[in-house]
Order: sequence, then structure tokens, then C-alpha cells
Amino acid sequence: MSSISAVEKSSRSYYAMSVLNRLRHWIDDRAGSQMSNKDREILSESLSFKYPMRPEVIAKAIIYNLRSCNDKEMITSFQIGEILRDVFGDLEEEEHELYLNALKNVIVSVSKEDIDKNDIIKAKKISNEAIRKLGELSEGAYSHPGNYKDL
Amino acid sequence: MLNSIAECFIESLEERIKLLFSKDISGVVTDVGESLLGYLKDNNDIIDPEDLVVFKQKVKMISNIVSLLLKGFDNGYALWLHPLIKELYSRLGIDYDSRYVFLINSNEINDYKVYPDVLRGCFPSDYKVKHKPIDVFTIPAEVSYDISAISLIGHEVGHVYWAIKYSYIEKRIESLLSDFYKVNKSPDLFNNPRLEVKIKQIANHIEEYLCDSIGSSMMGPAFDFALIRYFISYKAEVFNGSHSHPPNYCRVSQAFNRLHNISAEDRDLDGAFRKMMGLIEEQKPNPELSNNEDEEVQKISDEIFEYAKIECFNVKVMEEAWAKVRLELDAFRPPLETVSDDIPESISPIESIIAMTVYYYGEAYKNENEYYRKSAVSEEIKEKILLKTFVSHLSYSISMYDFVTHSSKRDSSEYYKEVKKNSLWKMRTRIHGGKTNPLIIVPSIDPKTQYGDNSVDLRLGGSFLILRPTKYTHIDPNPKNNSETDRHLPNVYTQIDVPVGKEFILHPHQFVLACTLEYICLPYDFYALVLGRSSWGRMGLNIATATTVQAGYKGCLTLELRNLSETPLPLTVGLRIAQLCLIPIPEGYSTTAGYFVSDSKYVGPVKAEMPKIWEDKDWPLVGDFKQA
Repeated sequence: MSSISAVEKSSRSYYAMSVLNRLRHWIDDRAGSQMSNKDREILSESLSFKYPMRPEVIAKAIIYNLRSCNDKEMITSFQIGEILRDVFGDLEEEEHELYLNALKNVIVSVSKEDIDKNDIIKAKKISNEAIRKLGELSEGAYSHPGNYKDL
Repeated sequence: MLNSIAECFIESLEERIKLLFSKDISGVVTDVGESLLGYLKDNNDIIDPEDLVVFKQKVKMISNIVSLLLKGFDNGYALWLHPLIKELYSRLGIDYDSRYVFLINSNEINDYKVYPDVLRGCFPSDYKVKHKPIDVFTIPAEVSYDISAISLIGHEVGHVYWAIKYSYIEKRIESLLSDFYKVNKSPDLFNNPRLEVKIKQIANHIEEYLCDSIGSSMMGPAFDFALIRYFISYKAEVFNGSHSHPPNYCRVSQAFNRLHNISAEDRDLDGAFRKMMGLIEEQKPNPELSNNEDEEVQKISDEIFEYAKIECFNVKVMEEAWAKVRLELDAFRPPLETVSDDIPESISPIESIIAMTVYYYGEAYKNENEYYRKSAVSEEIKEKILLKTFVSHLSYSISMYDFVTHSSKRDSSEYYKEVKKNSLWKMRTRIHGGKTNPLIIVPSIDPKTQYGDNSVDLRLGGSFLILRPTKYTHIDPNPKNNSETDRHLPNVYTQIDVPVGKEFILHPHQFVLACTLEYICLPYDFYALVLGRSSWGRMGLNIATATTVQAGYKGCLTLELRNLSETPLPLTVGLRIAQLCLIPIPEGYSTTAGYFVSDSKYVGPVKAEMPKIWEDKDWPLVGDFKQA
């Protein structure tokens, strides 16, 4: 019988990537790049999905995992939260805090000039890594991040 | 370099999207293709490798949608299901006309799936797209070989329902789960990396239970019976549940409980319901397989279902359906409409599926079914033929439902006052020599226009068999080995289904097999000739070469169409194209035993039937003859 489809999975991943990419572009000062308030909300919300999870967060997480969930922003934030937990999980505990705080600072700052340069470097590193992990996740190829698995 | 990689992605996907434009599925699909093409090329600023990763994901997302849409058959094979889905939507308060339903039903599909509003996550919210939400259903090939299997589509429609009425789940789930986890305050539970997997599993299971409840609320015993049958084939490990689906034990138990509730109300349907239950009773799962954790999830989904205030299955619906459909099935007619002195009443797809499931699996056909009683073939062959015919009758009656209810004048008693004066119409309830011996032509679309004094006009049906080029040098009507693989005939015809109101273009001198839209039941003391209508004849259309229809025949008539003119002829499905002229058999020469006794090759057909000339009894007669 039915289960969450490849179509839905790929669009969930794509939207999570798009938000992270807009964050990267904004940090990089790319021409025409901008972070909307919605993007900031999505990213802030994504950081609330962390361990230990509070009961109400668990309830939310279940809701965003339903196939019928049609709150695209919240699905995206949950997807980003999930991948960020994965990225942070690869770091040492001290580093984890540093990178998390750097990302928080970047997300809440409206003007790029107000942000510490080290935070910018860290936030960019985290978003690059998260994009890559989302890409690998979507390929379903953990040993070889590409389409041509037999190569 | 990065841009050139992106170009490769774009060009290859562009070619695939263009294939959508060449498919004659629907204008909506072409519109979708255009939107996807526009979005693919829109705003792709690729400067570093991460941009390329994001772009590749965009390509993948679009590619998945294109692959799905390309699976759609372009000959309308799945169109028969639209009226059923329309009825299910309508029962759930979903506005069918505000959505586009795209069905994929081919021999390549193995599973039920649904993609509610398939483009929902595709375009950004500010991206302008001109089409309605598109719900894509994939329907496995098995539905063409079973009666109850199609009722599982109720589960898939459930996914569409919850995607639209998602707020019911959201509101209820938040409070229910918060309470649940507040009570179960184990620290391990909240700080466990496995929690993430668990969360996804719970979400999947809740939704599956909810969709089962929806399916059962609409299709009742047909759904639950089909669900149990479906899970019989599963292995033990799947029985314990998976990440995406609840344990089968829980789902099957639920289905059993719902069936037993109906049984407890003593809704017996002439003993057929009890017999149907007996068929699956052995499959009742062992309570030792019970899964406490999933029972909690099950309770949550039950509460959400109750909160959404969806009406549970009404057993009265089943009884009413039974009363209407049983008579039609006993008389070996597709469940299209009631046949009586009164104005015909349409039979809906849901009614047909429920009643036919109980009728066939409850073995009610063994009592009064005309074919079962009269056919001279063995019991085993009879049952095989019955199942095959019932399945085709079911799909035929479902496919006709929208056209019948849209075009017929069911509500007009004035109209039927006029119709009832016609002597051929009066033959619907004819009793001759103390026995019912009627002329019945269903569905009744516009009897006032169709019924004349001596003949009845017939409409062009939507099933066509066209000859296609093959490897054979000639068509051998009876190959020497006569094995299925050696037979030429089934391999030289391609079936095309054209919906009512659409055109089939018959090219100059082209020969195709078509059929009448109506199902005809002749009395035992009349044979008939099927002839073309003169207006079409003047256009160059020849409709039949073998024009005699035997007394007692039941089925749609296969027509042998040929365009004798020099220009292509567009034939609109549903138009009156032929006429049936009745000729009485002199008293004393007719037989009440009927058509089925003759061991006919064509039993209750509802589509254009390909020749089965290899079954002729002449072959051994002539083949065994040796010239002295």
C-alpha cells in the first residue's frame, strides 16, 4: 500500500536545501541574494528540534512527518532540523556549541555587518555541510555520493 | 565548468518533459509540463559546488514528477475509475471539479499509491502556476482480475482527504500526544537518537490507520474484506509491521472487528454475508501477535477520526445496494440501473462494488444466477467465467455511471409517461408463457429517442480493437499447436478506450472492432439484426458484417466498423450509430433454455471482443477428415 513517495521526499529535501542555500548566498553577499523573514523563522524553528525533545516538540515532529502535512514551511524547518542534528552530531561537544551559537547569531542578525566574521565562516561551513548531507540523503547512497554507484 | 554540468541536467530533463507534450493524456498534463520546464530554467545561479548540489536536487524533484506522469497510459485504460473516485470524493465533501484526478493503471503498476496534490511541494508559493491541484493515483493491474480489490482505493482517497483536512489531525494530535508523553516521562524516551526513527514511524502508522478508517467508512465490507485478502499473501515479518506501515495484525484485526459489527446487526443479505465471512474466518490473526505500542497509536488515530466527525459505514447502504444490485446480477446484467415498471434508478459505483463483493464471495450466484443455472460447462469453468465476467461488468458499469446520471432523464416522470407507451420499452417487464422473458437494453440514456416501433437505436461504445503491424506474415485463425503463445489473433489487436463524448477517428478503408454502449438482453423468442443507421451509412460507415444476434443473447454487441469513404471519419463515442431490429421466432420453435446452453464463446461481453475462432468446433471435424 502507499507510503511517502519519492516525489514528496525529493521536494522536502529540495526546499530544505533552498533555504540553506539562500542563507549561504546572503552570507556571501551574492548579487540579488536575500533572506526573508520567513527563511529566518524556518531556520530558527529548525533549531528547536533538538534532544532532549520536549513532549510538545515530539508532537510537532510527528505532525511534520505526516504525509498529509501541508505546512510547507514547517516541514522544511523540521527537515533542516533533522539534518543539522546530523551535522552537529559529527562535531565534538565544545565545537558543537560554538557552531550552534554562530548559526543562531547569523540567523537573528538582520544586517550582515553586525555579525562576527568567525560566526560567518562557521555558519557557512555548517550550511555547506548540511546541503551536502541532504544531497547524499536524497541519493540514498551513503558510501558513494553520486549517481554512478558502480564507478 | 559547473554551469556546463547544470546544462547537461537541464537538456536531458527538457527532453523528458517534452515527451509529456506528445502524450494525449490531458491538457492539464501539458500545462504542468510547461510550468515544470519554466521552473527548471528559472533563476539558476550556479557559482559553487553547493549550488550545483541544490540544483541537482531541483532536477531530481522535477524528474520524479515527470516520470510519474509519463507512466500514464495515453489510451484511456484507467478512465473507467473516474466515476468511483468522483463518488468517493463527493462522500467526503471534496470538490472533485476543483481538482484534477490523474489515474495510472497499467500492467506495469504493482501497487496502490496516491500523490495528493502532486505539485504541492514543487513550486515556491509565489510561483505562478495555472492549473488545479493534481491528485495522482496508481492502481495495480490486479483490479482487472478481482471484484473487491478496487475498494482499497478508498484508503488512497483517505490520503487526499487528510491532506485537505489536515487541520483535524494537527489540532487533535498535538493535544493527544503531549498528554501521552507527559504521562510517560521516561528520560530515555526524550533523549534517544532512535526517537527520530520512532517519530516517523508513529506518523506513518497514524496516517495509515486513519486512511483505513476512511476506506471502511465508505466501502464497508468490500473494503475490509479486500484488506484481509490483501494481507493473506504477506510474510510473517511484514505481519509485524514496518517503518512505513502498521503491523498487519492490527489492521487485519480492525477489519475483522468492523465486519463482525455488521454481522452482529444481523445483516445477512440472504445468507451471502455469513458465507463471505466464513471464507476469511481462518485468517483471523492470533492475538499473541498483538503489539501494545501500536495499539496506543491505533487509539490516537481512532480519536482523530472521531474528532473529524466522518460518518461511519451505514449498513443500510449495504442492504439497499443489495436489494438493487442482486436482481441485476441474478439476471446476468451489469449493475447499471434497476429494471422494473418504474423509472430506472441508477446504481452507484460504491453500491455496485459492495453488493458484487458479497454476491460473488458469498456465493449468492449459486442460487439464482442465470448463467450459473443454465450454462452447460463444468463447475470449475463456470466459476472462472463468472469471476471474469463480473469483473468486466463492474468496470463497465462504473465507467458508465457519470454519463448515465448526467444524460438520462431519471427525474422526469412526464418523460417516462411517454416512454412507457412504447411497445418495445414495455418488453422490459414482459412475461411470456408464464415466465419472465424480457427485452432489456441498459443503460437507459434517452429511451424516448432510441425506442422506435420495431427497432431500438444503439450507441457507439468506447472500446475499440485496432489491428497493429506485427511480425506475422498473415493472421492464422487456428495455428497448428493452438497454444496461447502461438495464437496470432490476440497479438494483432490493440485495445483503445475512448471516453464518452470524445472522438475516435476511423481512417479511409480502416477496419476496427468496436462495440455498442448498451448491454442487450434479448428474449428467448426473438432474434435480432444489428444494422447501421442510414445517416451514418451515407457517410460511408459500415457498422457490421455479421449482423445476426441470437435469441436470448446477453452482452454488448461487437461491431465491425469499416470506413468505406475516401476521407477520415470522426466517430464520437456515445452517439447513436446502429439499430437493433427484433424478429420473432415462430411459436413452438424458440427454446427457453437460452443462449448459455449453447456453450457460446462470448459470455456477457461489455467490450469489443476479439475473434475466438480457434474455439470453433469445426476445426477437429474438418482436421480429422482424411480423403480416401
